Amino acid sequence: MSRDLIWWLLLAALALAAMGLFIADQVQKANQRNILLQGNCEEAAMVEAVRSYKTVVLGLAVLSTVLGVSVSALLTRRLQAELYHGTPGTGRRFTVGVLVSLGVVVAASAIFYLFDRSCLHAAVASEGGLPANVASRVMSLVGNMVPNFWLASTLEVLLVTFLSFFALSRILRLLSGQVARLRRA
Amino acid sequence: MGAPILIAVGGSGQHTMLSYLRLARLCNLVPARLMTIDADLRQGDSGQPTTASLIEKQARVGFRDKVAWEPVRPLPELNDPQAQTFESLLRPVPGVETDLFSALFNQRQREVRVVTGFHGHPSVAASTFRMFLSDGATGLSKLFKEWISAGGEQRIVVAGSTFGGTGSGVMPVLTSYIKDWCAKKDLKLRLGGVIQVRWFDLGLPDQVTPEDKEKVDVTSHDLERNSSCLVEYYRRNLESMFHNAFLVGHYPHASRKSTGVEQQPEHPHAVNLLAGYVAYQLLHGEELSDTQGLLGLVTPDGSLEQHLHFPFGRSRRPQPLARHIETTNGEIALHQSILNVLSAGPPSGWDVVEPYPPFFSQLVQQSQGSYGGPNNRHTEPAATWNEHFTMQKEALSWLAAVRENSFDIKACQFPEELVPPARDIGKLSVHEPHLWGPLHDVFRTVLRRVQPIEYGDDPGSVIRRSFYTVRQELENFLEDKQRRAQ
Repeated sequence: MSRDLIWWLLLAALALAAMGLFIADQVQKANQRNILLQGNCEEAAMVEAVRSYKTVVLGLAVLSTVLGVSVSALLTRRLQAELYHGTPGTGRRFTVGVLVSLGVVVAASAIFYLFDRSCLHAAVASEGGLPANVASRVMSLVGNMVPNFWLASTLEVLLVTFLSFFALSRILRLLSGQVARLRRA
Repeated sequence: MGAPILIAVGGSGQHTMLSYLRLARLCNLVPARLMTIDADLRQGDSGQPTTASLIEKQARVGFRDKVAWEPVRPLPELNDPQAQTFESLLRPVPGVETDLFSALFNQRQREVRVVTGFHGHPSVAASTFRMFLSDGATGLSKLFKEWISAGGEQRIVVAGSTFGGTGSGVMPVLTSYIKDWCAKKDLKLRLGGVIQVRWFDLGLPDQVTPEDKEKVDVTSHDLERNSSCLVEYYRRNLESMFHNAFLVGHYPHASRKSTGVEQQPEHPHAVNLLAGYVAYQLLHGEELSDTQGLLGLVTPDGSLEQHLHFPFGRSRRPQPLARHIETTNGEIALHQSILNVLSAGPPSGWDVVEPYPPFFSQLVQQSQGSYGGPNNRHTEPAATWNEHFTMQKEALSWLAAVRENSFDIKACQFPEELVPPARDIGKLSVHEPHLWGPLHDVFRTVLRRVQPIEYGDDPGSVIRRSFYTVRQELENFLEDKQRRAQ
């Protein structure tokens, strides 16, 4: 196994481990908050639970891009289209990386939601929860335009994931180009 | 020590030289300086290429560096352009001279069209070549004025046969001339010989018209007569001709179709392969450097790929031919993938890391070219890369043809995993398993070490050297891998 392959696999493993630890830590904190509240979910507690959830999800969105970028870099190493078929890379590897990031953040958010025992479930419930336009506005830039918590959150996660992926990929491309030039020199 | 020189005399000599060149490609060797001596150096018509044209192509495309190659027609200056036969060339004065000429040469010999070869008549070849030497031997000036050097020992190997016309007649005259010349100049010479003795029966092509039958210039009987006489001559005079020599042949004889007077195509065969190997050993090897006399008669067997050894990898330790063939398979996979990448175009801007190794940008920059496919003949560096690549594939196809043509004597029966059938050569999936790892891994590891920027500014040299450095680095990579595995 070549050295750069090991580095990329290591980076992907680190991203996964960081996400796992982050989720575990946040689940523990949410459960502690729940114990303090003794199951009494008033509006302020529900808003706090939603804010906490969105913070975690957006954090996961950034972390998942590291995983997505690693997958994309691993695909780039293989150069399947170029080596075997003589066809140019058409952004497929970039797209796969973005989709992996999105898939991972969706899965991680769902896992976090399932394990969260704070007032989050009560806050987003259709009956007795926060009004839809209130829940969607918590820590949100698009909540005013999209009065639905799940829809607004999904749009924001998409945006953050994509921007984060794009920024990280450009930085890495620049760095790898510089490293190549340095090696050449 | 001056660069070694291989002189091919006549058709069999050229077969030995072609085989030597193909082995040099398969084993990544630097070939010697080359000289071919043959009256018939025609390039052939549109059909099958001649041995002369194949050698010319090998030299033109070159190896890591261009190959020095000099074709020589062993004929004296023809004042009369109509003089095409031996008799018209000699122009004996009527009277005693004509009588003597008729006594020495029969009618068939007198009427040999020397401008197209000596057609199995050694006495005609020897006489004509002697005239050529007396005439100043301007064709050989490169050999004597530029190639043979005074510093250290000069190795020269002369390859030819005992059964044809040119080799049988020219070789004894040429070797004596070289030896005398070097002795006069007080040069240290080691003159080796690769002499093919009769190893095939000459048959007619399957479908032959009566007119074609008449065109067949040499018969099995002629071969037998020439070979018997010359082997006896060599037995008596070898020491005055060569320092060391090998006879190469096979018995029972193989069968070969005559191609007639108008054609001199290549006949890939185990005997020629072995002759090429012997030439390599005499030119470059150390084992035979102190040997003297006739070293023996060599004959091919069924698994030559295990018995013939050539230097390999960084250590240059001898490895069997099988190892080199395996590496050539891997090399073909690598070259195909490099061509694919060149044809895919510049690296995609969407990728999260630089997709190509720096090798590609350097190659394109140093060759003053651009990305482009091998089918676009004017796009460099792909066009030149493809030309070298074709030569490597041809070398492997030649091995497949050797296997096929040597079936009757059960020699060189390479396994198909090692030498794929000719129709499969060039298919990436066929060659990839010989890389000892995933293609993309080997691709990156090998190309990381190839730096076209270091190979100068001449685009042709940059591409050629990059091509052969890929092979060298692949050898180094495989050698390291094998060492680690052990």
